[in-house]
Amino acid sequence: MSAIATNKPAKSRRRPRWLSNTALLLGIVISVAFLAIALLSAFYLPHNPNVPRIPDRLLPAGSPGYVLGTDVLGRDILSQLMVGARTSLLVGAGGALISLIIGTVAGLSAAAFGRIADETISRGADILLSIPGIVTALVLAATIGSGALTTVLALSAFFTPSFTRVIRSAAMSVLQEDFITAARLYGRPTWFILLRHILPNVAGVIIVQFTLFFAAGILTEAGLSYLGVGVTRPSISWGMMLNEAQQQVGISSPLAMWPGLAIVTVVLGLNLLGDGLRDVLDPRLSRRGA
Amino acid sequence: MTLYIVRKLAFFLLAVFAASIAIFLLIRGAGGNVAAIILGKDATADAINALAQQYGLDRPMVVQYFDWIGNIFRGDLGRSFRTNEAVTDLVVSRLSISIPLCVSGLLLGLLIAIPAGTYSALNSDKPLGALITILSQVGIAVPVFWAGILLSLLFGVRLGWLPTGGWTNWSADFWGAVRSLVLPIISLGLILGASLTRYVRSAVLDVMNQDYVRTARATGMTRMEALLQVGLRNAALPIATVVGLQIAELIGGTVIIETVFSLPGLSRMILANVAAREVIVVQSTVMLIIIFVMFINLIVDLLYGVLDPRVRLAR
Amino acid sequence: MTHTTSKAFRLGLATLTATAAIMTSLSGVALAASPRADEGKMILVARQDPGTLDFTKSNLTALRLWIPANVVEPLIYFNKDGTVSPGVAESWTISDDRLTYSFNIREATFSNGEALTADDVVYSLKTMKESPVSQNSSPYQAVSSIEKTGDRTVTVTLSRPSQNFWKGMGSTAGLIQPEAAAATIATNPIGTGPYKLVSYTSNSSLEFTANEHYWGDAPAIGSVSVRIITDGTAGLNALEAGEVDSLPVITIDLWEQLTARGLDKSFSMVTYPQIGEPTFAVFNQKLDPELRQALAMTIDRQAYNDAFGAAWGAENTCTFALPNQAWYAPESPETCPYPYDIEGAMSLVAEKGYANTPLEYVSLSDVPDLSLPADIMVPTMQAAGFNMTRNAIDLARYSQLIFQGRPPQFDVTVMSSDADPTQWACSDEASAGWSTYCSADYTQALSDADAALTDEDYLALMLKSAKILRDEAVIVPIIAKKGVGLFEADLKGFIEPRVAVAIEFAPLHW
Repeated sequence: MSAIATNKPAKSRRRPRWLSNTALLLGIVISVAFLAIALLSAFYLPHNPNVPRIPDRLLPAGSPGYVLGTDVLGRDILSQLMVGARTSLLVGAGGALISLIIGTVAGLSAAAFGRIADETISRGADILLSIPGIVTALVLAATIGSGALTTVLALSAFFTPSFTRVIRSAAMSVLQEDFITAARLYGRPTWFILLRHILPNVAGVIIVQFTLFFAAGILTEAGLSYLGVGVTRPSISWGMMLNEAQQQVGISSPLAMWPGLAIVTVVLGLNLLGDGLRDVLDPRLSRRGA
Repeated sequence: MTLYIVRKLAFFLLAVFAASIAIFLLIRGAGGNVAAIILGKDATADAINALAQQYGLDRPMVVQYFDWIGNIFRGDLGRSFRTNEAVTDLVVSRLSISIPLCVSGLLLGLLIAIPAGTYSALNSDKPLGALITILSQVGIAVPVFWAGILLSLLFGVRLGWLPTGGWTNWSADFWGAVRSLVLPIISLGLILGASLTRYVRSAVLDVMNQDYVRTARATGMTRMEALLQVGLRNAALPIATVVGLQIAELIGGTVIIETVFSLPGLSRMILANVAAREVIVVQSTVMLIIIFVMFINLIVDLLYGVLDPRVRLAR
Repeated sequence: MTHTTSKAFRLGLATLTATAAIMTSLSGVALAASPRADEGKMILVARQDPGTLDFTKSNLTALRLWIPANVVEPLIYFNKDGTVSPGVAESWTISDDRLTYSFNIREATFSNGEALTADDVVYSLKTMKESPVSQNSSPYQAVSSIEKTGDRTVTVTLSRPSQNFWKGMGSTAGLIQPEAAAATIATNPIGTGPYKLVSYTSNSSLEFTANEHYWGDAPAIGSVSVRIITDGTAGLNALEAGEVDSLPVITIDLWEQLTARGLDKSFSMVTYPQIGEPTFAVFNQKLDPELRQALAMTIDRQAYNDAFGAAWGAENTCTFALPNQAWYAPESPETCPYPYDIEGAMSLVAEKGYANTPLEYVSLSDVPDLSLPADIMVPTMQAAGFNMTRNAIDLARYSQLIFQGRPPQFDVTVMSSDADPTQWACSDEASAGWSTYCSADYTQALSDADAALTDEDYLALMLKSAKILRDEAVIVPIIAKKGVGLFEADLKGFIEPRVAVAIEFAPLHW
């Protein structure tokens, strides 16, 4: 999945200040709006997004009662987009969160528990990374049926190895600091050093990576659902809406525009937020780039 | 040095072996049966069992695994149950689409990324530099299939210049095949270009901060001269690594773009064969991809070892 | 330094522009008449990849569209007007008791140059008799022997009269192939038809060329390419752009788009029943009959028809048949025992407490014209008060869980298939088809119809069987879809399929 390419460090220190600030601001605005809409969809929707109203099918945007029009079965587009935001939030954040937890544990262990642990975990991540992601996703969808949960698992499988690598290298560089050596000399046990000294120092990296993997997760989920192996009804996702629009109405339909715009906006917002946070939270990278 | 290479090779073999078990378990765990799919909805259980037996799918999993892996060692990747075609032939015919698609897409991406990334690294305070940064951010956020849809809307449906999908064989209609690949390559290239621009930018930024570049600049070179004369060599290695890994990732990862444009490439072949539970085809094809990816990893590792002695001492 | 960089950048841009310009110049294909017309070629579009071409083992429509009639011929052909034309059999005699059929085999050569023999015919019929595909084997149910009774004569003896046997000899069950080439049938089926297969590339194309050994007149178009374009819209685009000459089979999910784009005006559109399919719901027979009836009452046939936005292509019906079958009836009060009545269904659910019965709706996730009906059906049944959950699975799992699952692993599902009524017949519960529906009455009515000696008796018994099926509310038809095709205006001569659903290339001409 080329989406993962967004997660490699890119130094943004040399970016002009005004651009950085505007970008971070835009990222915050989009991300907050995205969260707000996703939360709102749990309490309020203009229409039930799954109930067909055949007489109202394929209404254009701006029709009475349907701000963005309706799809091939007369289901409200706006309501579907709102529920899609919730799905993106749950699936993207869920996938990122699971890989964050496993990746942090594995990455810290690899960094701190000696050469054998490091070799095992790092080589294991190498092997996992070499299996084409789409195969994992397809097979998971085939095994437990496609759906939101399957997609979360697939995303976790894609992201955990990369997350592990990032955390490992961040922890490695903290381990070389003098205060760690001091703590070791002081006779602190490894687990204590990990929790007390290393974790707080890589927290910035974790938060930044979470944001970026979150964005990558939304992109990947959209791709899987577009292929028909991701989210299925009654859940609704933007990728699934694109798939339905293309299959049922044809790509020239405005139905194929809205979900695409939604994906681009939210992923852009999260990436901007992640980059902005890196400037603030990840002194290691900033220092190196300075 | 020899020890380093031997160790790397040993790990390579071990990893291939581990991956083969992983992929075998994954696809076998999916359930479903190629015999049931071939025979369709009206087939009796007896007929399905008989066909599965004929294909050797009723044997214990361990036997099937060693049978498959043994055949691979003898250079026999197996055959499709449905068509009896050799996996080798299937893969070769699909690569005649996937390789041109991936390589040209990547070249187009680099053609965009190298100048754009370098320029924006050196001129981040200029409007064009800022514009490149913004465009690459937006480009990264665009799902590649949506880019494909939009391009095929514009050039295929509106303007009618290029086919919106489908494939003619190279041998049947060479220019037709080229035309079929244009939009997929542009879609792939634009999206890859956007993310590669960031790599190039950061690699160049890194290099520009190195002491040898500073020294070179102190001798009176301009930033560009310093970059070209001493920096480029050093920036090239990380970029080349990324590119190598991208090729490997792409060969198996272009399934979405192949789907948008109905191209019978390698990854859509995998998609169709997972759906049909052609277990041998899937196992062998995926193994080929994995070996290829690991091989590139191995080469990169060895190159680093050769170029940078600290790496092999550290291991 | 800035100067150098922007120069490099401009160079990149220039290269891009140049590339774009080259690409543009490649697109100089005329749009008016098909460039294939003068070359004696045509390109058709298929939506699905057959995977295998072994017609003895697979009954996928994707295979049956192209191989029968064009490459591999049946013994006889049933024409639209009811007459019978010779195929591999030059002539035939049928005994008065309708128990003995003698076929005189034509002096002909297979497309691979080998001579057609009576032994090949015996081999082919016996293979079909043993075929795991019921459409191939069921016509042989009454057959007691298949023998070579002369140098060029094959005699089939039946234990009882059978309408299905005779009909089968003009369908896939009667296809004749050389025994010697059986090993390569999956990729290169051989027959006596007007065309031979040159190559098959899965997910890409099937290439045909005229068979120089064909016993009849050479076809007008010598070279036929069937291009596989799975994305429906891409197929329509290719037709509109003049890249291909025909989409002979267009599935229902594209009909609205087709008319909206005016393609039915700019191309010649044909509709024909043979390739059509009924879309029907299947309810678990183990469910309480009244519950099944209440479920049936939630089905608003007009809504399903409207949902596809192409009322011209499908008819509402409660009868499991297509309009070309004599026992077909469109939706009417007389032929619909449980008409749409959502309020009635709601009060039944409330009265009988059906909300406490958890029901599982299993749907096929990767087939668009089945997921749309499921998208309507599930929320509607839930709205009526049923406790319904949806389980969307792929074809491989569906094959295992639904087609092979015993006892039935679903409460409701939706399917589209050929309209052969015998697929629901069963001698006992163990031999029931995938729906697990088994009714002694229905099976008896069908078997009586099969043994009928006159057409009138046959029709009366088929009507009786159709009524039994309707009343049971297990197989619940929704709409009968027609076959729809689009042809380049200059490509003429299309005839309705004679051998099951096969699209015949030979009558087509520029």
